[in-house]
Amino acid sequence: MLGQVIASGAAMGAIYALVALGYVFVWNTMGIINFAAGEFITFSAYIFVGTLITSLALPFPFALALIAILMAAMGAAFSRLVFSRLQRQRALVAIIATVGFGIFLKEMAHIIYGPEPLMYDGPFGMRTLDVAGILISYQQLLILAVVTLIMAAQYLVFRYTMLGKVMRAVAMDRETAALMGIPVERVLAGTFAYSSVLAALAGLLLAPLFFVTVDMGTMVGLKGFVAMIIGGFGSIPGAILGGLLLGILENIASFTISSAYKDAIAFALLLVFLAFLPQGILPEKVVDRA
Amino acid sequence: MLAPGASLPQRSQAGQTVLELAGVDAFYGKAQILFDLSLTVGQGEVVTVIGANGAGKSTTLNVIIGKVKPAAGEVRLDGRPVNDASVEAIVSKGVTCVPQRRRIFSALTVRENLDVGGYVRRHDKAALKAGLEECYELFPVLAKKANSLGGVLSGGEQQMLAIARGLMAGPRVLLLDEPSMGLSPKLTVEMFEDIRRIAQTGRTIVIVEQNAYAALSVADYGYVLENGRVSLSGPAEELIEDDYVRQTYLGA
Repeated sequence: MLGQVIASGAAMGAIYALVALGYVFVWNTMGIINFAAGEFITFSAYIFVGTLITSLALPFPFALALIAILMAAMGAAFSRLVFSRLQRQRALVAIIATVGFGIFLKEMAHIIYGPEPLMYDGPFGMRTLDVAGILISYQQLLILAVVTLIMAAQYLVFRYTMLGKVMRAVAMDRETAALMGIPVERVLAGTFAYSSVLAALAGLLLAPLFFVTVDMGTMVGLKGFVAMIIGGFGSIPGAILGGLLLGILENIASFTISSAYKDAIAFALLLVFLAFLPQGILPEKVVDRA
Repeated sequence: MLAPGASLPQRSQAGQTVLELAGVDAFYGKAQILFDLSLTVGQGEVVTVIGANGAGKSTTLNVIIGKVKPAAGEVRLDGRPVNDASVEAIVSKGVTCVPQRRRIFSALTVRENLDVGGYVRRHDKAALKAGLEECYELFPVLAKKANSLGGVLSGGEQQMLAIARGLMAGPRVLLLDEPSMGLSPKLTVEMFEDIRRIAQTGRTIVIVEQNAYAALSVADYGYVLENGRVSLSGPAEELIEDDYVRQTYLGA
């Protein structure tokens, strides 16, 4: 039974990891937490299920590509129009503005798609696979596969391509990166676009597990934030580890204690970490000897 | 002896003028930093700008690289005005600035720092390869430590990396902002030896320095900046001998 609990916890944790990574990228490059991240998830789930799959009846891979492009464009536009201006503001103003934008997205979804929850079975329906007595749904396998693929691709891009090096350089020292002739504003918009794509993926992967409602992303967004803190604020491997750990631990705890306390358990875990290991499990290393 | 404000005889310019500032005023917010500043840099020359802290030396470089836009006057590159050009455009035109305090990307490896330095030439793989070879030849220690993180290098090595990173963009004009800052006297001597070697490759170099003696001794021509104005200029060897410069900047 424990294997079952861990398997489904890992799938949920993979989603938290995606969301946590979105926070990390935006934090590292722009120094702001995007508190609208949860609503990016909601909004993209609505567009994906409500418009691309239901209204337009697009095949899954095509709809997937389209939602990624749409959310990247929305993220880039939001970054250039709103986020870049928030950088010169006090932190509180930036926080309120992103929370406000989140409410705007949520209400837009409400206006466009109405109050009824949307249902989506996912590309594989409700089928499950029996692995040594552990039942794993195809949707959970898809989540793990997509997230693993994203992490691997992201690692390769960051490590070996000019784009990845430039993004890391901009995250570390924007002013010096600009001196190298790097178009910093465009890199920032691109980073934000990528974090929006991560949110979109989280939304469409989650849709078959929950109903699509205006609140579906809020709790996932918050838990992604918790995952980032547990893993180590601003750390990429930390976000992945924190996400998986949170997903698995909250599932184990809700199985052994009570599922009614599932969300409370996640935030209790946050409190424990803030009290005893505030830097997280894999904190960002700061190296500069000279 | 020359009084401040007086100008030494104009240099005979062998090469063409590459870079020119003509009557530049520059501000940071409401504070005026540069006043009617004019200077010229010839092809292949090493030009030094010396002056005290706050005299406007770094601002002069920031105006050249396009980070600070002049409120009045003109910045010309190869005779053409570049006042409105972005930093990216100026770097693409062959001017690179090596910033004060090195500013190494500490969590990137030496090699990655160099790769990022070559950003404007990213589509020219052959040029990048040649650039990398040149950097490793100039600074063999960087080749040895190619896979070390920039942040774990010593101060002297970081300064080499900062200069090499600047060279990766393939500049014709290299701007160096206080290259000796934070280096021991011995490393400073070695650093200026390196600069001399880079000058021998035919590149034009502008050095902004508080360490006036070291900078003037590698330079062809020098400017003395005081309160945002050029107070004195002349061939470097004459400035080193000048009584006012000796008393004020060389501690003689």
